[in-house]
Amino acid sequence: MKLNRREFLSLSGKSAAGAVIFAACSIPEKELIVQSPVDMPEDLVRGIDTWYATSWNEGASGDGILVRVLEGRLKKVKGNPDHPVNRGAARSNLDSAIQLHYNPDRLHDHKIRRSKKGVLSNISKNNANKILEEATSKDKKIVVVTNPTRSTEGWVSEKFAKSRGGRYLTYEALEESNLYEALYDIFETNEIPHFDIANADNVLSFGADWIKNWVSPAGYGDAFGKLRSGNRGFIAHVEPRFSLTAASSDLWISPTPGKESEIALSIANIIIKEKLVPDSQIKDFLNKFPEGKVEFGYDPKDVQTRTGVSAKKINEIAHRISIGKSIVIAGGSTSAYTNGKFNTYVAFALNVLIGSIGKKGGVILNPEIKSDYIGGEAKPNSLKDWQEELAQWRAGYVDTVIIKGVDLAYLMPNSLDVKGALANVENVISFGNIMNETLDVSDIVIPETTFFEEWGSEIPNPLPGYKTISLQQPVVVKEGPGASGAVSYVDTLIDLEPSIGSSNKSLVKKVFENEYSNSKNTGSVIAENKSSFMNGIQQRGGFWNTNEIVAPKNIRLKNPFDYNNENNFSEVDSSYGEEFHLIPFTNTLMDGKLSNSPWAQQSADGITTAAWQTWVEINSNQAKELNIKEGDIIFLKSDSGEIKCLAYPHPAVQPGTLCVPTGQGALKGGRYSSDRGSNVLKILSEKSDGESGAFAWAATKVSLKRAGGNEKLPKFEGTVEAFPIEPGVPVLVVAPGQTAHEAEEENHHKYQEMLNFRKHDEESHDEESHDENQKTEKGH
Amino acid sequence: MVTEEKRSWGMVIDTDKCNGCSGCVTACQVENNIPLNDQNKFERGRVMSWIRVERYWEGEFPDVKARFIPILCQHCANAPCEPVCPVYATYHNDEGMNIQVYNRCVGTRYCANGCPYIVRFFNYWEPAWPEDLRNHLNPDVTIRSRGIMEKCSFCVQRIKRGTRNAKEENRKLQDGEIKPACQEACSTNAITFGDLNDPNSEVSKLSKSESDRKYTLMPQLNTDPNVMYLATIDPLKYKDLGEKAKSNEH
Amino acid sequence: MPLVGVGGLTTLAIISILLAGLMNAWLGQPLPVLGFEQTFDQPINFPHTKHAGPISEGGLGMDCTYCHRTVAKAASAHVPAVELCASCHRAVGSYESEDLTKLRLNAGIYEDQENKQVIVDSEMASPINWRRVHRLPDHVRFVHSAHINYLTNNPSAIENVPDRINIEDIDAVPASQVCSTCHGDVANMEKVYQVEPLKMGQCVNCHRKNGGPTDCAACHH
Repeated sequence: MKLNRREFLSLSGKSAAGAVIFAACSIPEKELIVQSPVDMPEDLVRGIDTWYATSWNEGASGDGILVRVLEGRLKKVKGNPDHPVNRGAARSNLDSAIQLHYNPDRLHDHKIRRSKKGVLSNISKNNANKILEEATSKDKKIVVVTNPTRSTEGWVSEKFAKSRGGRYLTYEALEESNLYEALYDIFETNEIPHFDIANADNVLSFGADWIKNWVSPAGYGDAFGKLRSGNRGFIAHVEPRFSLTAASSDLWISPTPGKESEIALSIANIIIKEKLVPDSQIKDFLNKFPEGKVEFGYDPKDVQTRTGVSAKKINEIAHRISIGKSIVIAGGSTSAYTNGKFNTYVAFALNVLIGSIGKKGGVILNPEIKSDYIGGEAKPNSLKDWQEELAQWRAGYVDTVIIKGVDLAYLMPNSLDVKGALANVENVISFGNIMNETLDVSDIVIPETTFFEEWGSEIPNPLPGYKTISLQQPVVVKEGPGASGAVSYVDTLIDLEPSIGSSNKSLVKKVFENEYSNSKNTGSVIAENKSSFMNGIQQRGGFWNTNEIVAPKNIRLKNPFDYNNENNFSEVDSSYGEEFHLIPFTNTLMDGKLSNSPWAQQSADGITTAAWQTWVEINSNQAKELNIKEGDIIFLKSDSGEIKCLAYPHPAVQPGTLCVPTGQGALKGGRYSSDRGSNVLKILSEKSDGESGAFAWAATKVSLKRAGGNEKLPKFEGTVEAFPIEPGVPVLVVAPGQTAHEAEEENHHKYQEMLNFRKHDEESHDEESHDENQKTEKGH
Repeated sequence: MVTEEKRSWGMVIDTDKCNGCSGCVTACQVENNIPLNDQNKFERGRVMSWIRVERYWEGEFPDVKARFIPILCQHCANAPCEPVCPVYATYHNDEGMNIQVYNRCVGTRYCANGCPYIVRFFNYWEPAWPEDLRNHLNPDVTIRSRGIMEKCSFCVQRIKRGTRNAKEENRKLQDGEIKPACQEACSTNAITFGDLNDPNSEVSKLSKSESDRKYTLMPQLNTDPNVMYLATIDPLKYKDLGEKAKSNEH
Repeated sequence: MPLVGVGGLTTLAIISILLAGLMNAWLGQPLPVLGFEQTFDQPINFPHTKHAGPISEGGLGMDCTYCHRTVAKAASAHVPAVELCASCHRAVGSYESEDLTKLRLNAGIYEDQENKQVIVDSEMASPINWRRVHRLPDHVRFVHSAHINYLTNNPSAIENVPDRINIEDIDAVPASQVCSTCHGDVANMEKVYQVEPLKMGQCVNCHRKNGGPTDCAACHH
C-alpha cells in the first residue's frame, strides 16, 4: 500500500498506529536493481552527471548547447559558453525540447494507411520499409520537404530528391524569404550578416523581434546584455506590434502596418538634409535612387501625417544613429507585406548611409561556407514557389512526397488547401515524433528520432562573422527510455539510396574530417590526427575558425523604387464586424513546434502573461469603445477562414490592429497541444509580395465579432497581488546619471501629489528620517 | 574544524538588462522539479513559479512602456516568514540563505501569510507527471508532496554540491562556479549570484560599481533582503517626444 | 468505547503492537518478532567473510572499495555491477555451490563444452535483486564521499573500529578503514545486518562533535 508521509500524518491522527507498520508497505520491490545493473562503465558513476556538447535543432540557429545526462536520461540543457553563436546564452525555450523527447504521446510505431479514406494502423518496421522502397523507387516523381536548414540533413534530402529527379523544398510558417532577397540585392550574399550588437552604440530595428524570437535569439540575447553593460547602447525599434524587443527598446515607434519604409526613408531624409554623415556615405546611399526622391518625398512632417508617428521621434532616431557605431536590422513583419522586400531593402540600406558595414559594432558580412556534405539553404521557398508546387500535387503530377519535421497541414493557410493537395499525391510519407495534422493525413507515418539521439552538422544562421560549423551528437541512446521504435530520417533515406553514403554518423564525421584537412592547424580544434580532431570537435561542440572571414566591401545601392512595391491588404467582410489589421506573431511555442511541451505551454508570455490559450491583443481604449473585456470570446474572420480567441486588452496595441500568437489550435496532436486555442496561421490571407512572391503574412485584414460569451483567460498576472500602486515600485527607472536614491525621492514626491496628501514643500519634510531606510549595507 | 570564511549568498538583478523572456522561469521549473502548471492552475490563480517575471505598464499608446522585473525569494536577513513557523521548518542558515526544510513542514501556511513579496507557494495538489515525463526529473531535488511549502532555494542543491566538490578537491570555491539555474539561463546576464562576503566576487563588485542604481524591494518593511536590484535606465525619461504630454505613472 | 467492550485481550494486543512500533522507531531496526528480522537472506547469499574477511581467518582480505568503488566519489557507495562478480567467478569457485550457480546464471557465465571454454555472455545476464539492508528515509540526502573524505583525514573520528585494525596515531587512512563507523565490521558478517540505528540524532551528535554542518539544508534539500 502506497502511503506517503502526508497521508500518514492525517491517518495517524485518526488511528494512532506506529510508523513502522506503514513504512514497510512502500518499499519498492526491486530497488537495488537500478543501482546494481549488469554492466556499469567505470566512469559512469551513479548520481554524477555528465555534460555533452551538441547543438539545438528545433530552430536553424545552430545554438551550441550542453546537455546534462544522468544515468542515460536527459535532465537539463544550457548554453555552451564556448560556442561562438550564443556564447553560453540560452533561448528561453531550450529545455522544452527535453519534454518532446520524453513526451508521453511520442510515437513508437510505424503506421500505415491502406487507402486514402482509411485510418492509420500500426505496422512493423520491416513491412513499412518494404512499402517505403516501393513508394520511393527510381521511377517515382518525388518531392522532399523539410524545414529550412543548412546541414547534413539538408544535403541528404537534396541528394535523395535529385537521385529520383525530384525536388527539395523547404517551408517556414512566418517566412522571412524577403529578408534574404533584400540582403542579396544589397550585399550579394546569401548569408545573413553578423550584427555586432554587443559592440554597438545604437541599434535600430525594423520589425525583427531580435531580442525574443528572430533568427538567433540566444546569440542576440547575449549581445543585448553586452550592449546594456558598460557604455550603454541605445535601442530603437520600429514595428506596429509591441513585441518584447519593443518593450526592451528605449524608443518604440508604431507606424501603420506597411509604412515602415516611410520611417526608414524619413530617417534617411533627415540625415541627408542635415548632413549628419560624410558625403561619401550619402553618395553611396543615393547611388541609383531617383533624384530628390528621398530628400523631398519623406519629410518627417509629411511622414507624421502619413504614418501617425511623431516627427520628433524620427528626428531623435536619425540623430542618434548617425553618431557612434550603429546598426540597422530589418525583418519580421517589416518584410511581410506586399511591399515587404522594398521595406526591408530601404531599412538595410540605412546601414550604407550610416557607414556601418564591415566595421566593429556594425554589420559584418559572413563568409559563404562550402562543405561537401552540408546542403540546403537558409532561405525558405516563397509562397509563390509553394503555390506552384501544390498545383502540381493537386494535378497528380507527383507520386511521393516525403515530409520531415514540418507540419504543412497545420502551418499553411486554409486557402492553400494543402490537405486537398496531399490527397492527390499517391504516397505521402511523413516523419514525426508526435501525432500532428500532417501525420494524420499521411499514408506512411515514421516515428522519428529527436535531435538528442542523432548525429548532425549544421551551419548556424547567422554565422558570428567567421566560419562555424556546429556539431550535433547523440547524448542519449537511441531506443532509450521514451524513444523506442524511433528511426533516423537520414539513415532511412540512406537505406533507400545507398549511394548517398554509409550512415548519418559517417557523413557527419566526413564533414569534420574535411575541416581537419582544410584548417591547416588553425581553428577551434588543433590535433595531430583525424580521430583526435574528431574527439576535440565532440568536446567543443563544433568547428570554428576566426581566420575565415570576408573582407569588407564597398556597397553602392541599387534603386529599390523599381520594385513592385504597392502596399495593400486582404479584403474583409465588413458586414461581419469591425475591420482590423491582423498581426500574427510567434512566442515561446514557436510555430507550434513546442506546443507539445508543457514547459513551453506554461511559459507565460512576456507582455500578456497568458499561457495555454490563443488570445487576441487589442488596444484597451479601443476595447472599451467596443465594449470588449478581457476574456471575451472573439471571432476573427479573414478571407481565408475564421478563428475564435479570447480578448486581452492592453495599452500597447496600436489601435486598429490585433495581435494573435501562433502555436495553438492543433486539430491533431499530443495531449498538451490538442483541443486548445486556435491556429491563426490558417486564416492568413494568401497575399504575396509584389516583387519577390514571398508570403505577405502581415497583410491580412480581419473583421472582428463578439460571440457574446466570456471565458477566463489563463494568465499569470493577477495570481500574485499587485504591489502598491506607487511610481517606481517595484521597477525603478532612472535617467542616465541619476542615482536610484534620487529617483526614489522623486517618485515619493510624485506619489504624495497623486494622493493629494500634500504638495511637495521643502520645509515640511525631514531629509534625515528619509535616508535611514534607503542606505542598507550588505554583508553580515 | 570549520576553517572556511563565512559566506553570504546574495544576488544582484539588473532590471535594465531583463528583457522579459522568462528563460529564468522555465530553467527554475526544470531544475527544481516544479509541478506542471496546467491551464487549470492558471485559471485558479495557483501557478507555482519560484521566480516570476512581472511586467508593469507605464503610459498610454504610443508612449507606452513595459518594465520587467524578475522576483524570487529575497532571502531576507530579517525575514517575516521565519519567526512564525510553528515547527521551525524555515530558518536562516549561517550562509545568509533562507532555508525551507520540506520534511518538517506541516502546511500551516503562516510563512506565506507574512511574506510581502509573495514568493512562497503551497502545494495544494499532489504533483503528478505522466510516466514518460518522469525521466527528466532532477534527482538532486526533493519532490514536494501535497501540503508542503516551497520557494526559491538559490538552488541549494548546486551550492551544496559545489562546496562539497571544492572541499573534496582541497581548494577554494571559485566565484562563478556555482550558478543557480536562473542565472545560467539568463541570456543577457541580468542575474548575478555569489558570495557577498567575498570582495572579489562578481556580485560584490557589481553591487559596489553600480551602487548608484542599486535598490531593494520595499525597504520600508525592513526585511533586509539579500537580493538587490539595479534600476532600469531610460535615456528618454525626461524627454517628451510624443504629441501627448508625458503620461502619468501607472 | 468498543475497545473496553470487547475485552482486555484486544487492548493488550493493540498496546503491544503500538509498543513494538515505538521500540522499532526508537531503535531503528526491526525487532526480531512477527516476521521482522534483523538479518535476512539475500537472493544470493554473498558472504563478506569469504571475500573481505581477514586472511588470517580464511577470507581473501579484499578491500571494501574494490567492489564498492564509488564511495569516495559519489553519494552512494554503489553495490557493484554483476560483471564485477563475473570478473573473478568466471574462473573461480566451485560448481557445487548453490549460490555460485545462481550467480553464474545471473552473470551469463556458462561452459562451452565444445570448445572447452567458459563464456561470459552479458546478453544473457540479468541484475541481481539485492535486498537493501541500510535504509535512510527518502528525505535524507546522505553523501558518502563527503564523509569518507572527512574520516580518512581525521581517523580519530572513526568508530566501531574492529580490533584487528590499528589506526592509532595515523594521520590518514585508506577509505575502507572508515566504513565501520556506521556499518560495523561488515568483513566479519556472514549476512549483513544493521548495527547502528542511523537515526538523525546519531548523525547530528557526530556532526556536532566533529564540527560538521548542523545546517538543516546540508541533508534535507
